[in-house]
Amino acid sequence: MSSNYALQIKNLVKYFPVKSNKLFTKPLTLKAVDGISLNVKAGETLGIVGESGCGKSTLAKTIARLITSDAGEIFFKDKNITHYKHKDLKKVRSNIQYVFQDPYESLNPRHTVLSILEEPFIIHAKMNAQQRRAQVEHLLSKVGLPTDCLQKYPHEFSGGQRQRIGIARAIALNPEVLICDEPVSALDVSVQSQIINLLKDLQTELGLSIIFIAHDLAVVKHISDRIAVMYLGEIVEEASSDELFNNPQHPYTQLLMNAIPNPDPSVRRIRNNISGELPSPINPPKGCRFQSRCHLGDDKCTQQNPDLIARTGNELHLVSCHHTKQARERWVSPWQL
Amino acid sequence: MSPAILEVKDLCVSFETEQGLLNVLDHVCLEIKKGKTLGLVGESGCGKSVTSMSIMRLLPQPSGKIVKGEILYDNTDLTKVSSDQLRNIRGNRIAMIFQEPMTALNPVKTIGSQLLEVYKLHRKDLTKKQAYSASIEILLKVGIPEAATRMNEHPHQLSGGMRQRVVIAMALACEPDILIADEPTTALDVTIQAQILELMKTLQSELGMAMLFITHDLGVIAELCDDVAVMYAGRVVEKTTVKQLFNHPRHPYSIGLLNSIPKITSKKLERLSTIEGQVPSLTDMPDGCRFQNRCEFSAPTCSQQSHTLSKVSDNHFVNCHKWEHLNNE
Repeated sequence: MSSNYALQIKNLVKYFPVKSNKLFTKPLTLKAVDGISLNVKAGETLGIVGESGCGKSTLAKTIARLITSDAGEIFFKDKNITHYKHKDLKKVRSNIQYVFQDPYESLNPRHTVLSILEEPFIIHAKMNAQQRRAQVEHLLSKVGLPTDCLQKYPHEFSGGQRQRIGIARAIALNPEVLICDEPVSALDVSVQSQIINLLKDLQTELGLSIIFIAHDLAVVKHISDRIAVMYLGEIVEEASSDELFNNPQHPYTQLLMNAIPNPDPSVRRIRNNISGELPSPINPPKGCRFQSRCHLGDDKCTQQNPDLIARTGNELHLVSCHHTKQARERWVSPWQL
Repeated sequence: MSPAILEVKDLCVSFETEQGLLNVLDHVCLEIKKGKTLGLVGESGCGKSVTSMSIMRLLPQPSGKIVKGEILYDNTDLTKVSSDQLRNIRGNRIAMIFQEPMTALNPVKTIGSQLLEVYKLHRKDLTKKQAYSASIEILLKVGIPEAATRMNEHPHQLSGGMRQRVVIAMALACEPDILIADEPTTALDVTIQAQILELMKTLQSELGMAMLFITHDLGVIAELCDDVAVMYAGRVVEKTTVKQLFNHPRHPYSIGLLNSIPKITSKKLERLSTIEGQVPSLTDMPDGCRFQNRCEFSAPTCSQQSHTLSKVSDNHFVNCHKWEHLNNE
């Protein structure tokens, strides 16, 4: 059976053991990713949002096989790559590439731009030095950097330019999937928009599927076709980006939307229901994980963790909440769409 | 219009470095009005934090120097006061909140001992007992539950949001006239940021203090501030009310900055507009307007001396030779 999915993730689980400082007590586990299923269509952008510590980056790294998962399956174009090793994994790696958050830490300070960017070709392609150099020059022009900077070192570039180098490295081998883990959150606003535009251009040009992780909802909305909202290792809501913003159903999504500062001074508002903090993922609450911060919680929420299913008639809008009806009725949009 | 409680006039600050003398601030003028919030917005490296540190006289020594200008507070020029006087003002009349709540607190001292220190230094009239109960009271005021237990805990036992609340409590302990907040929410998550902003709003209206709020997030500016100053490469390029800035920005940089933020309400397929190029390095600033190499309206006149602000209206000033010719309504 062939599908048009670039990536399919089924029930992915990643737990980390936490050292207990007491002898003879059971070691604790931190449930970073707890049964997540996602599909990314070819050429589509899937946005993942959530607060820090909710497991976004662990999810991304597990998908990219940088971390080994504990359970669940990852399919790349219908092939199960969860347990790929050595040669097979190397092949898959050239197709799933990663852009890191911090452009200051993800580039080796002792390597020149040329040696950073030709490394993918050394590992994955049989090319001589001249060919590699030509490829690197081509890459640089693709990401909007001057081609005369081959011999420069990362510290000679600004943050935005470094992120361009990071993106150039990621697209060097024409991957099909690009995983971007907060690629713009370390950048200034005017540079941020340059990078977002660049990613969008590259996507149209190369037909990339992108998983875009961020905590800035406006950025995610701008770039994504679909958005998944994460909370404590689980996805609590998933919908197309317009649907999610027009009609958020999960109280947590609503909380997030209420919390974004709106760059429009004419709509100042008083916020309520924003109390509470992310509980520790070591000991998440039983039942619905959001109950400790939810204003709709009742007995059912403390006993049963709601499944992520379509609850609104819209097949593509998945929510994990027992009380979507009340949540919907209470929702007052903080902006006019 | 309420009178200015703190005035920064023609402030120039230089740093001595290996590359020579760098003019980090160039004729910065600001007024903080009584009971109001002034937002200071700009990209990293534009001199926002240096401005706040100059007001507090916390510039790194010996490299940082106030070369010119005055900072007027309560009829005194803060650039000239003695360190004794300064100690009396700093933390007492003018308090500051820093960006990183983890580095702003001492990791090896309890919350209580750090908070009590403020009272010990500035409120010598209080007995130990009174200071203790005042500390508990201020902790409760900033929304920290079980304040008595928290007093004996160390910073690492609190979450980022709670730590920032402690820092705010320390700043507000003496009920200052002016609170300088240097990116107080940048290190926090959006939901926590929203809580902290709400808290600061309520505390401000309760205590009637003036605030200087430094941020790079225009959303936060729109939500919290009354007036705003936009900084670019060490200069204030536009200074006006928040409404005026968002509705009728005049400086090409402010216009570009406002257009480049993705908005929830914008259509998805729209391309974001960008400001091409980058901020010039401090070692080779162009003569005249510092934005000219990125400005689409730049003309030969832009390379002439230009640190003065032109008046657009009574409460709107812009540092641009060509603002009258720009049509941006």
